[in-house]
Amino acid sequence: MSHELRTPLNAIIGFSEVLIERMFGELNEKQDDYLKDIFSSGKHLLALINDILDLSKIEAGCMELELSTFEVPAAISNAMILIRERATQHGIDLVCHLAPEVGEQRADERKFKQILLNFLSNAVKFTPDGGKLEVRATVEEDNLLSVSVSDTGIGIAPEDQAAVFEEFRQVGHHYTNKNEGTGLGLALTKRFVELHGGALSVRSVLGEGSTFTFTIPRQV
Amino acid sequence: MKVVLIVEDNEKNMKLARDILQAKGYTTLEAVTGEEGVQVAIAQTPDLVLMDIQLLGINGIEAFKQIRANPSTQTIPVIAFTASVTPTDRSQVTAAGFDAFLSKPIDLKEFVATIKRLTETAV
Ligand SMILES: Nc1ncnc2c1ncn2[C@@H]1O[C@H](COP(=O)(O)OP(=O)(O)OP(=O)(O)O)[C@@H](O)[C@H]1O
Ligand SMILES: [Mg+2]
Repeated sequence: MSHELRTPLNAIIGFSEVLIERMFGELNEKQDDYLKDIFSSGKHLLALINDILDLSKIEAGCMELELSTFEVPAAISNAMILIRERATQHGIDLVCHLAPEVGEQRADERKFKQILLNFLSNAVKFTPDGGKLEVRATVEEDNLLSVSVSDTGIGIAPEDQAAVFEEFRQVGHHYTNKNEGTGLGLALTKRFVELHGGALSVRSVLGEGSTFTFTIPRQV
Repeated sequence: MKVVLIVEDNEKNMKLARDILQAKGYTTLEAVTGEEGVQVAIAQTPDLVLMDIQLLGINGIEAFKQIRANPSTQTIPVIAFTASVTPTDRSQVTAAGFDAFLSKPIDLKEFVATIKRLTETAV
């Protein structure tokens, strides 16, 4: 099914991009503006389809983990690189604290990075310019690898904190830019963590910031 | 001028790949099935093949193997060009030994850069 859903989007995204890139001549301002809307809406729809397909795969019990042993610090810095530019653009400080005992982990590396990236992209998205993001990785007593992302952002009201892990839930009244995000990020993240036998939690104070944490059993 | 063979069964994807490549100064050849792709590759020995994977008849991986098995085409670089992005699909493609992997939707910069790189290193 995924092929059938993506194919028409390839045309929408591809043709609008070649026009935006002026591959076939100059555009006026309106044309450029509308094409960028077509392009970003196409991308948005594609992200939505990919997330929904992933979720339905998990629900059908068909999502397989591709386990390998990898260096956690490298995976973390990898994910951080992907967010750094966006953080810098908004004057957001990005720091990382790694406990020395955090080394190798056996897990699905791609999903591990995606979990972290979902935390990070939320943290950047919901933190006003000039804020600060901290990534922290430790090993806890009961042999759990714990990774958290803290931000100095808008925070989440206590009554909304459980809802953020549900599909299509975007909480708070700040949500004006409807085009940004699908509300599936944390729902997927939660499934990915659970597939690893782990758990997810949030601590947050409205107006001060949030900390999202995931823990998975340590395995090498 | 470098010649790129596009093997692709979707008309719009074909048009997009063709137009981008022609705008960048390549000559393009086209085939819409794996079988036809192999025939054109052998008959015309292009500088590069862009191969869709999900094709009717023989799929792109099989067509790629036939191109590699033929002495007149075995050194031609072949790029897997596919919308399938699951890890299993990807590892099948990687295991087959393609020279590169380009996913759909096209990322214009990556697309152009990969094709440039592979046509420039080819002798
Ligand atoms: N760090 C955060 N600070 C404040 N609110 C947050 C934070 N992370 C998530 N939220 C709230 O939880 C909601 C759900 O997050 P989720 O990642 O699932 O969706 P999204 O970011 O809106 O879209 P997507 O991740 O699918 O692009 C967000 O819309 C937001 O209201
Ligand atoms: Mg999100």
